[in-house]
Amino acid sequence: MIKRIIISLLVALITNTVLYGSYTIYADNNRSLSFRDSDLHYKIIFDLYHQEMNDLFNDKIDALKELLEDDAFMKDLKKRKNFLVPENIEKEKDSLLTIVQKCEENGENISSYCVSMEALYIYLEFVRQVESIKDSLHDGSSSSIQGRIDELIVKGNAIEKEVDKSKAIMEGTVAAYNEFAIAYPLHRKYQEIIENLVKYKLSLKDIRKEVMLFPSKFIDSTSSQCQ
Amino acid sequence: MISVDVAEIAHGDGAASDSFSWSDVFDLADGMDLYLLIYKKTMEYPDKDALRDLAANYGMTTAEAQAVLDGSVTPIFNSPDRKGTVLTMEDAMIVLKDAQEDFKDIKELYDIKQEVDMAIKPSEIFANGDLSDSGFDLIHDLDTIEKILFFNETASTVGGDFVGALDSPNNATERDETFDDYVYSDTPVAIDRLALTSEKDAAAVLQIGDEEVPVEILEEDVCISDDPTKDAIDQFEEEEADRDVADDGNNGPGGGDDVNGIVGFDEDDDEDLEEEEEELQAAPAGAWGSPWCPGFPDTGSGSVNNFSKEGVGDFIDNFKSLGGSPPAPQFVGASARADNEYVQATAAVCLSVQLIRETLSSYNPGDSCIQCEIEKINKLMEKTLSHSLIPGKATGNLLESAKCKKTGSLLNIQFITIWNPIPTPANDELIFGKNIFDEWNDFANRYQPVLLQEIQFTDDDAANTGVEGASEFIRSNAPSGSSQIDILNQVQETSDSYAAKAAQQVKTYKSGDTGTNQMLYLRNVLLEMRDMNNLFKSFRDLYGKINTEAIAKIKEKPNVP
Repeated sequence: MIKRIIISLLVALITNTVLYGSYTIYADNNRSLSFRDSDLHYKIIFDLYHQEMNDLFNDKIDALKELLEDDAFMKDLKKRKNFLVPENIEKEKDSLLTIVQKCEENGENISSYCVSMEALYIYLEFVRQVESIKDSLHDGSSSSIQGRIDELIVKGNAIEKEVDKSKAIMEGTVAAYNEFAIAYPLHRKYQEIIENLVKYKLSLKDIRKEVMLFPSKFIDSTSSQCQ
Repeated sequence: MISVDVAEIAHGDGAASDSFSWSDVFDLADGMDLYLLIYKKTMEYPDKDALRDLAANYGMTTAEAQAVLDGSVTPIFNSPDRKGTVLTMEDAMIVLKDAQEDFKDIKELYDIKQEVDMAIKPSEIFANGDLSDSGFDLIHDLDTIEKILFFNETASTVGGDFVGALDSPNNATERDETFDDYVYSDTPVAIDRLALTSEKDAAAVLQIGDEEVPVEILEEDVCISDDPTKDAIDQFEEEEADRDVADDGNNGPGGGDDVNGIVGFDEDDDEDLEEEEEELQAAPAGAWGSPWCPGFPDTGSGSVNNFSKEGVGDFIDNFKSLGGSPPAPQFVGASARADNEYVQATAAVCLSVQLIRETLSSYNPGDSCIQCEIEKINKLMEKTLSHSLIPGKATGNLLESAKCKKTGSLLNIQFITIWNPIPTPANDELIFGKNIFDEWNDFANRYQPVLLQEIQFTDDDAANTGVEGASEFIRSNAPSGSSQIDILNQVQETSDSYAAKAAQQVKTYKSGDTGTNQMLYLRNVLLEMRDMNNLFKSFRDLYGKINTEAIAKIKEKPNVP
């Protein structure tokens, strides 16, 4: 009986170790994966692409908030540089890659234009990647030819739908980011004004408290004696 | 027996779009996972919401609804809504097909809903006055600023009707080209579009929706300011015109000037009325509470008995109502006295109303805002400054000044001397820098004294007088044997000598006169400066006294809490 229990415990321990090790290996591999990698299932490509886009916008919003936390942002043009579109970009002439490179030249540019261009560049990479595997039968799981063909049709439809939807998602996110990038600096400025107004109000309150003593000092301060 | 609401357990909790929304991104996550939200709205929520609605409509769980969409008819047979009914496979297939079609329709609606949400929401989420859907809101910030400044918030019109829409000359739904019509030009295009009723008349009809509104074409592009009393005056004038027409009818054939004792209201009456209005008098002083009407004689006792029989009679004879009819007093009681409540009169009375407005603060004492504080400060300062700030003692004698006095004599009177210099008049009448001869000549020419010619005095007079005198002197005292030429030479020498001396004396006098003038001037300046210094010194002493004698004692007095 005891022997069985010991064996069961050992088996459980070994199983846990194997499962945890597999998970960490998988997790590490998954973290370093990119939708640009070859031999990936199209659904994994979808996930990796959306994950990368989500990370991109998270980084940009983080950078935006960090930049706006600096009180000198409103006054210092140098600090606002990454909030504006780089001057050396020629929108009509430069290729998308050149624009993205110019946007990244001086660190994280958070202008809506640069963010949208970077997102667009990733999206086009994604489109190229899924188009390249659209007609491939390698990632099918069926053992029959007909099954593979059916899977190919399903994959093609899924890719087309994903490309369309991804474009809409990208556009919607860029629009929301643009609104955020416009409204958040205003909000910061309003907060600054509110803080100053509160200080001003408190100062006035102090003055008023002093003024409240005036009447009691002068009115009815007569006496019956000249002393 | 326990009854279970099938509809509540058949489908999931709420809409899928509620599970992760804008507020989760911008309020809780500070903008993180914005892309994930849009992704879910685009890819997941329409499917989930459509499935939830489908399950609710068909009395299934979401898993069963999903199974139906995948082609299974089992959930249809097991549906509690169809208990007691017999379903064939064909019926089930029809239901399955209907469910799939419904799902497509519902999903399409949710797709559109999410698209609209994605297109509209970002543009308004940060400026809709609602903090729950985002971590910050610009309207809320402005409300906060307004509250700090004025305490009261103005109701936000965000999401409501555009209040200023009617004030705008441009209709937002009109074509852009219409906007150019309102740009100033010599010949506004907008006028051409109006349906003119006549070429001569400057009136037109403007089509606004289904209504045709008559409008007036202005000669110049300048809006006429609205007169708030215009409507009332117009109405009054119309009523007056109608009344005049009615009066004219009464005065015509068959009509009388005095119908039942009513006096017509003609132009003469108008003039009389104007005169009467000019002669309106105020109520007697101190008798404003008594009954009083203008035009009634004062009884001389200080009170006015308006409703005595004499008074009322005079009133009837002399007073004409604005409405054109005299007052018709009715003496109901036996006696008519001032306090007779049975005397009734019908008369139009001109009332001169004076509106006295005082601005009262609407803020509670506890309210704190910038405007509130400033108002309170103003109120407090007004209270303080409305009183004299000079301290004094309570006077015990009639007409005694409240100023503290020191006295040690028998008379309880003290003369308080405040050293104050007597300002000397300006020395404008003095003459500085003038030539005494020029001044004399000016004086003589101006007043033309007698013997003016005899006393005319110029610089050359001295020399001339010297020549004549010398000639006479030399002629009478010339030695015998002197030739005429010698005498002339002597005269000339003597004359030149006198002239040189006279000129030198005049020059000396002029210099001396100028120096005297300068000295006098400087002496007066010196005196003025000395006066000024004394004045300043007296003020300094005065301030010193105020500091030591008045302010120090004021400070020692206890404050009233």
